[in-house]
Amino acid sequence: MLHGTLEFLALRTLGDGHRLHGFEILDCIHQSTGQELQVEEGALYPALHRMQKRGWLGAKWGVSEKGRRAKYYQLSARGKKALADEEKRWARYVAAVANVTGPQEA
Amino acid sequence: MPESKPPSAPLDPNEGLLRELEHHIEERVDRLIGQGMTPEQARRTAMARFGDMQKWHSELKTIHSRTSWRARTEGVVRDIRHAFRQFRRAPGFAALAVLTLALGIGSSTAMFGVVKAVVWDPLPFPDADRLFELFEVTPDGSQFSVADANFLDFARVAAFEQLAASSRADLAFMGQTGPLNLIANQVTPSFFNVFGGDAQLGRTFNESEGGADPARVAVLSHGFWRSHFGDTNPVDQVVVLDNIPFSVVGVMPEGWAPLADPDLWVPLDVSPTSGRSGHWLQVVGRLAPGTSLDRATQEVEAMALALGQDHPETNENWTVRLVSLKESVVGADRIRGGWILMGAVGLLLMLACGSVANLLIARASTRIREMAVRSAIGAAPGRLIQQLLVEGLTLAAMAAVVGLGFAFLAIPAIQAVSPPDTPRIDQARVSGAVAAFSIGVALLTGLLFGLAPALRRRGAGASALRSGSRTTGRSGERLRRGLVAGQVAATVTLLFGAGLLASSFLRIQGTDIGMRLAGTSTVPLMMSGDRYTDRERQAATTRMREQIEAIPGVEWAGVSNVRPFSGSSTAIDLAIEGAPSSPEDAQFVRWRLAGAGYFAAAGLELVTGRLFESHDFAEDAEDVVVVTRSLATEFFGDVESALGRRIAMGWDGTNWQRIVGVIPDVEDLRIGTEPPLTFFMPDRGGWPWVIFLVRSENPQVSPNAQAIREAIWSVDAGLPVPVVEPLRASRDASVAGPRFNLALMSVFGTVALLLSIMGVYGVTQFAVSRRTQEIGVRLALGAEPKSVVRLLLRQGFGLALIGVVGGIAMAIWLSRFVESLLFQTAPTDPTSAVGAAGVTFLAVMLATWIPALRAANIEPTSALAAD
Repeated sequence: MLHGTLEFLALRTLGDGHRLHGFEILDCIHQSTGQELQVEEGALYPALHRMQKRGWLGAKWGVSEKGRRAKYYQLSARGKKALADEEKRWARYVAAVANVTGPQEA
Repeated sequence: MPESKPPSAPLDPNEGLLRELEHHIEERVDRLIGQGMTPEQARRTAMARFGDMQKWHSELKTIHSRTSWRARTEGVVRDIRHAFRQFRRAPGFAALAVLTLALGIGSSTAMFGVVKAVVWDPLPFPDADRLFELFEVTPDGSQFSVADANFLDFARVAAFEQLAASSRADLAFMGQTGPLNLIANQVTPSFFNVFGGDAQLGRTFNESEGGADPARVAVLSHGFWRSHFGDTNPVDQVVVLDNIPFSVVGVMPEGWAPLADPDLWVPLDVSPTSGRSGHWLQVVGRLAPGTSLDRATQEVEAMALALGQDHPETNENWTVRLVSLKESVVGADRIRGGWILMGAVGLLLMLACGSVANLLIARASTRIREMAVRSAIGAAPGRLIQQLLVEGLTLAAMAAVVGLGFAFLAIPAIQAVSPPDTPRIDQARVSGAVAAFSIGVALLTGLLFGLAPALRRRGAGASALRSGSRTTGRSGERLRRGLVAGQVAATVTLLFGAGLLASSFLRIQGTDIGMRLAGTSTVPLMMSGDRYTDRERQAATTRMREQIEAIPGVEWAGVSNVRPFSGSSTAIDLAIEGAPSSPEDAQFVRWRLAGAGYFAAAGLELVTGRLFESHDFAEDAEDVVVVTRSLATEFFGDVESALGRRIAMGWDGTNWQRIVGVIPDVEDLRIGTEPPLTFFMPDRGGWPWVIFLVRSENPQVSPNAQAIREAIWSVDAGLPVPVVEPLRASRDASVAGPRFNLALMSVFGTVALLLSIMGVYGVTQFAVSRRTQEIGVRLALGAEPKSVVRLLLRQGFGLALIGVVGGIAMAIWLSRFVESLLFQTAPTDPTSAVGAAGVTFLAVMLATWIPALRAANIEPTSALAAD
């Protein structure tokens, strides 16, 4: 995984402007990547908080449908720009990997 | 899990973090129960999938309190603990890295401490940077002491705040155990002002006590006071020196010994009528505030010019030279040597850093995977870099501590082997400044090393996670090989330097000084004018000589007026009969006295003509001289033409002396210079300084010192005999400087060689392990083991070649700085170059060959299966 894969996936999930809490974000990621992530689930939260500190996400405490207190995240304007940059970066990486023909010493 | 607060109440930040994580668990538990698990199962699974709650909580806390100092420090402390854990996991690596770096830090710290004390520290006097020494310079450029009347004129120069003169005198004193030879400095009263010396007891000299008719007063040194007066106050007491009573007026504090370390100081007699042709004063002074040395030089040179016009017979075309006192005391040779040794040890330090860098890069390859994972889950690059920096700094800090310890041991070792006359070397120690230096070096290297793995991380990428093998990639290996090539080059440079110094030293040792070194001793005596008239002196020395030659084992004895290898000499300008001379053409040569038996005792054989015979020593005998070969060829073309010609002392001299014999050149002052032009006059007892040269029949055995003393005392019981020194010891002491430089440079070169060998071995071993699979494939496909060895050797050869060639080039470029320290050795000395290159090359090939042999023994099957 490249640096910040988890962050990127979380950004994409929030890309459509949704307001989601952590568990919901993880759910969406699982659905879109079609497999379980090979890291502990708790790893998502440092990623979310870092992005929040950077100003990419806004966060607000609310109440979930089940009546529980939960922290909801939403993409900010800066976050939208960051998402666009990351998508470009990933596209480049995918293209580069597609050119590689099998395992070699880098 | 029941909520402790109603949903609408605000949360404090920490509670919020925990609440968010707990919410996730709750949701996961719900989901799992919905999929059919029991609540307990669901909770266990949810916790397992989530990971350690504490860990995530703490990481969230760190993220949010990142700007607080406490969090920062906690993070650093955590990193330090993490670093130690890493070192414990690989203790061999850690120990090697720390020891290597400690070697570099320790040796450079020790060298810094020594050079600082000897060369860089200011002299321990107030306003030491304004102190200078003044020399007169002969028309042909030789540096001379100052004449009395000239000194008084120079003292009037406005740029000088103070000018003082000093002259050594040996005075006889009757101690408790027998006659003693005291070393006294005759000084002007201004001497104490120049060096800011206040007496510990009593006072120093008044202005009125100096001058033309100085008072009979004395200021004692601390050591002399203690040993002869104990605790009693000596002020106003009397000491008898050379049978003259002197009244003690003061005592100087312990350790106050500018310029020299005499037993006591007495006033110098100097007046305008003292004359301008006898140059024996050592002159020092302090510049007026705000005056530069250049400015003062201009003023005093103008004064010298004026004196040359006013007194052409003595001063024409003489000039003066000012040297800062520190430079004069330390000596240009030591200043140069100090810089060269610092440069060499700096090279060694870089070598050590290169070794450690190599080790860290190799180890970084095993950490790439760990770092890639942490980076993938979003750990900020800053955190990773901080961790690596902390690791590097921790390593460097440990090395600094060990290195300082090493320096504590190294400095006394250096002091022990240093030349005995090295000024201030006993003040070398690990001071605050010195420790700061080593800490600074450690910090720098720690920062560099911390960043090295971080830089390697860039190149890792996806392949690092995918492949299981240790790898830094091609560029990593290239960097390592580059570092090792640099180490090899540095080693060659240091060994070349050592080779140059060794070559120079051997040439010095092998220089024929003209006299026989083995089995010869010198005995300096002060037979002063108040004790002897000239005639009495001649008679006494003749009787002493007879007594000494009567000692069993002694073959010859004779007197002269200069002690070999003492560093000081007697010189005069010369007039050649028949050749017109003027002050500007005056050439200065050395003159010596030779008593009966001197030439035989020195082993100087006649080249042509004759040596002195007994009739030459009579008072009314014709004035004849014996010259050295170089003087004969310089002034007369060849040795035969010199015979019968006449010379006179002083460019306008009229006391002609006939050359009757020529002897081989004598270099007995300071090896490393060209043999000087010298002529000998017969000793008629006119010079109070009498040096006996005593030669044994058997070169292996030195003459019996006690017997010599008794022989002398049998003629004059009250004459102090300070020392009977073998000539070889004097000679060795005079070359102690070059020997010291050579010793240190050799140590640096050897350590460098060892580090290079380890470096080459390490990088070759690493290449082998990296390509184990490839080698296994080759061997499995039928390649001969020999071919694998050849392949690796070829790579090692390439590395060695680049390193050695680069090293030679660098060494030759740097050798220009060493040139001034060399004697009869060119900076491009081929022997040293070939030797240094050859030794290093062989060592590198050896270090390549051993892992190569191991590579050839790789089991193909296990190699292919290896991860």
